Amino acid sequence: MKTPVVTLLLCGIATVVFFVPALGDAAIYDRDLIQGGEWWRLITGNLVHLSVMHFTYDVIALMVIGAVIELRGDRYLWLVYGLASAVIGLTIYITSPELRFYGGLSGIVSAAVVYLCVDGLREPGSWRWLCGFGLTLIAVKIGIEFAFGQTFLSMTESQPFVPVPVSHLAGACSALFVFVLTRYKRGIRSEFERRAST
Amino acid sequence: MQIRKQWRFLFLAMAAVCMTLAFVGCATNANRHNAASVVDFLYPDSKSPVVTPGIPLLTLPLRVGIAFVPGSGYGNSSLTEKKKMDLMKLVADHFKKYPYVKDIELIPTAYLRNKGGFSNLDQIRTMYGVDVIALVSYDQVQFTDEDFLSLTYWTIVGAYVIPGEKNDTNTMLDTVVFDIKSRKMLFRAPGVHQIKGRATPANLSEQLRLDSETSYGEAAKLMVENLDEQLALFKDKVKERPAEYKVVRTPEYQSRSGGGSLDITWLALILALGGASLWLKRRALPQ
Repeated sequence: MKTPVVTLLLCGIATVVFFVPALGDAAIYDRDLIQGGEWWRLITGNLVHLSVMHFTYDVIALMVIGAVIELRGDRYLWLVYGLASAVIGLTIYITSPELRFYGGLSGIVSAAVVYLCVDGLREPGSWRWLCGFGLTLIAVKIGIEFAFGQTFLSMTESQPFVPVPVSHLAGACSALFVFVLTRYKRGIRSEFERRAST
Repeated sequence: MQIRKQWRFLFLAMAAVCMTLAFVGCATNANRHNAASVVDFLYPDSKSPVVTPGIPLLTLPLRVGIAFVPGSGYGNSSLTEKKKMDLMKLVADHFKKYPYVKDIELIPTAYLRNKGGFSNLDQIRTMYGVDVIALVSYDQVQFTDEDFLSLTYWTIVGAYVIPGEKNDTNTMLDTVVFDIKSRKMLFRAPGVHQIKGRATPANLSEQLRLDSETSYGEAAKLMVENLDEQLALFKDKVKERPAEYKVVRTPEYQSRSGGGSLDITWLALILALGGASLWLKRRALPQ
């Protein structure tokens, strides 16, 4: 049985960052400091969590979904994590100027879920239907988050932050981009070659 | 014979002068002391009863003031108002990064009265709109001792070649953070620094001033490091003792921090997908 190395590594880093406050301070998305030149915070902000509940939910979810993807033999999950981290940070920076701090892995988790489900659409049988249902649920979920501006977690427990649904959307878009790039690059290349030859 | 006696007398006289100078030199010492005490500022009247603190209500994000407590007004301190502002800015820059700090106001020493007490802090609270104040006190002592090398300098070696004074500069900066309304001390952090130096008597004053400035700067850096530690301990204390410290998070505070958070429906979907994937994989395996 394979070991989900990439996911374990990411969750391990997030755990260390959570338990070492100095690392959290150095990594958190802080708009003022990003404007001051500390651009890496756009990416590393995803690794910082703002409460125990926040950390627990995100890390459990990433462990499960990341392990499933890696055990299915996918080779591009690292690209999903990397691209989603950067895109989420940039999207929040552009679309949410009122937000000074941001942290959390959930954008990356949603990227991984979308990546798994889109990939599952190519497979036959019940897994395809399950992934299709999952994708529909994700779309509805993100729509509700945008409409009401909060998640079920933030309604049930007092959290020291506001939810940021745009991070889930940015993660989902990153996953779609990686999927198209990695699954269809050969097809696109051969299409270009065919057109060039004709 | 007479000449030899005169030489012997001259030699003995010079030796006596040298010995006297050496004794005088070694025995001479001076010190400079500059201090400003938080206790003197907050509790000036020893006859009045001690202020009983209440339960602090910390409304996040906090507006924090930083001020140096007024000193005795004597001495030749290198801690000018500009230097104080620079040190306060160092502390302020460090704490601006925390989401629970909204603003940090640098309060000039002129706004604090000598032995002003909590009534003075109430005025500052009204003027600046701060909830919490960090009061910085200092205590710096500079000892100067002449030693044997000083004598050597005067008698044999030329000027400015061998340092002739031993200088010790001991500095303590201390920050005490108070919730003004409840009069409750939240936490404190010191920064202690020592310089052992030497100087020729001619540039002694300049060297002492430089040592003083350097020592204040270094003590401030250590104090900021300690403030970080003490702040982390204080956060734990607030969580452990909710009856002693009331914390209110305003909607403004919550909206300044965003979290990529998953809710229970996300988690349920992920667990369902994971479980289904495993089940289908197992089912597909040849029996």
